[in-house]
Amino acid sequence: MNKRGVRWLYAELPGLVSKGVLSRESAASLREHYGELPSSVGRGAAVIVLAVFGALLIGLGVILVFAHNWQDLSRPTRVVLSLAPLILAQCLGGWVLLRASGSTAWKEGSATAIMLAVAAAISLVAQTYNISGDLPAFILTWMLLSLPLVYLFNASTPAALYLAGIAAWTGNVMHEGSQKLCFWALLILFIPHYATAMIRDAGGFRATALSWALLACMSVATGLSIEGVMPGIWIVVYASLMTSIYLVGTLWFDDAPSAWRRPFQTIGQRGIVVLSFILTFREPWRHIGWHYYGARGYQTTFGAAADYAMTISLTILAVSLLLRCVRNGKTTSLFLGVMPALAIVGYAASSAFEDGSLAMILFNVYVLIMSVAAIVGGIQHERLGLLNSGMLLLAALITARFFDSDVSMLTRGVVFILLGIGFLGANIWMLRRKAAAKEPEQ
Amino acid sequence: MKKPWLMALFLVLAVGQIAAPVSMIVQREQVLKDGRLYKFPSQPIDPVDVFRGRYVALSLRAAQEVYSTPAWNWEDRTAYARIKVDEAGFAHFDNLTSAPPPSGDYVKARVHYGSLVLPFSRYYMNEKLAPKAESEYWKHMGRRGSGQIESYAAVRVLRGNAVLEDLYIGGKPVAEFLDELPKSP
Repeated sequence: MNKRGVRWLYAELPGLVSKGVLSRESAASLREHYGELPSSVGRGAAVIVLAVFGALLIGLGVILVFAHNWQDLSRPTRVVLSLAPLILAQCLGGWVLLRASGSTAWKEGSATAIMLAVAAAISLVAQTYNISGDLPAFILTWMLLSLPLVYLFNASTPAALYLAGIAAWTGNVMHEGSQKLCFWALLILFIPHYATAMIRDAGGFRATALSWALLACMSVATGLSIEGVMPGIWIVVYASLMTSIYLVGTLWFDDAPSAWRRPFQTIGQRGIVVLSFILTFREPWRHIGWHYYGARGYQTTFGAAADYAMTISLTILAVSLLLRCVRNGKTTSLFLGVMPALAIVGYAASSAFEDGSLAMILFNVYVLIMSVAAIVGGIQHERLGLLNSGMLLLAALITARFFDSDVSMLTRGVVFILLGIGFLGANIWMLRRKAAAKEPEQ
Repeated sequence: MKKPWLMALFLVLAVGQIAAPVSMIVQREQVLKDGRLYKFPSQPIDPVDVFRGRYVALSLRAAQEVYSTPAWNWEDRTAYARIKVDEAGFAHFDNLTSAPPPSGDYVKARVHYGSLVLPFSRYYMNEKLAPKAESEYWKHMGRRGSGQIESYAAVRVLRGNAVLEDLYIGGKPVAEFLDELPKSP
């Protein structure tokens, strides 16, 4: 039972005992069974969030005020003003480490303030001296000067900003040879902080928020770090990445109570669905494979080797996770878990025949089965959300194929009307069924 | 981690964080103090940069002149551009080399799309003044650029490092030029 449910039950217990519904012993054994409620983290989390937002707002405010660029100030004054926010934030950080090291709110807030002040100082000095600047170098310097804050303050907001920063850096250097591969080295620097949070409390707020940030960062930056000497290799990479994320969630975080608490499943599952849907179109399968090897001019051999290493290791990871799921009896994960196999078959077929038709058909059938399975599952388990997701996916698939092919306006119109009726009918039917199921209880 | 260690590490980090902007300041101050002054003919275009407020982006004639030398061979590479001064006193680049030239001043720059990405292509101004500088420049130049107004970037150069000291329009520093314009009602 989730925490909210347990809290509700504990609030009900005295009333139930006094009315004689439950004996004192039963109430005590229920308490023993569910254990102590963890102290309310809600207020603590709110204070931390407010402290972080406060620091963010003040930091951004300082940047904007100084960016106004007072023409009348002399250069030395501007230099002092550029460094002042950083020194003030560092003094605050020092005080927090000495006097308030037990307060998460102070640590998160002051570390975030220092991180923003570093960016402000570098930018404002650049402005004072009219330095045109090099955006990737600026981001990288900023991130490397800020990362130690994550460990010294055990602060996760700078860690999340760091992830966003290294993803942005990768995007900025993606056409600059193999240096984009440093993304993975930069990512490793974040891992000890994440691992510590996971070991302390894998289901806690900090670990969950960091998981979201990590998965979002990886979902974006993996694609940016691909060299693409073998065109279309991203299809296999992303299929394996999303499947691995989904299967990690299925294996180790299946008991989490809500979608927010299950970042691995939430991102992995949606990633698989969206990617599969994209692969129902012809465009991703055009001009890919070994016939077009090195078709773009700027790639390096080292980058190509890194691409292959990434593709092979992610595929092996996805397959081994899938086998583990099967061994653990989680066979339902097989359906989404086979996606990399389909991607590899589609990729090989498109490359060999220089025609994406087979791959397209494969993914159209896959998404069709996916949507029907969701609709059937939604009806069987009376889950309106799942039913609607399935119908939405089916509608998207049909709509997409309409625009691909030469279907007459009349046919399109009729099918859309039928889809609409289906949507409304299924929802009304489901709601009635739920209402009918509730009545006998009352 | 024990507190004294934590504080020591924090101090090291704090010094490192301050050292990054301070090293930028020291290097630029040295160029401004000891560097030789060059005038690079320019025309302003005004964009916005979230971090750095508004600035006037300079379209420097010298940056495109390297077309005459085979700049495409240098695409996306670092090059050393040697400075020469013409009869009118304006600076241009006459040669690109892979190493600093043995004599004369030069600027270290990257070649991108056949022109030089120079380290002095932005002049930072107040967000009201930057677009005004651009519009006044074009007002004087006329729509087709047939008018006559001199605009140049005053740049100090020392051992390949260049710092933009001021932007001149009509022979005056841009702030002074804008100050002297008749005030609009």
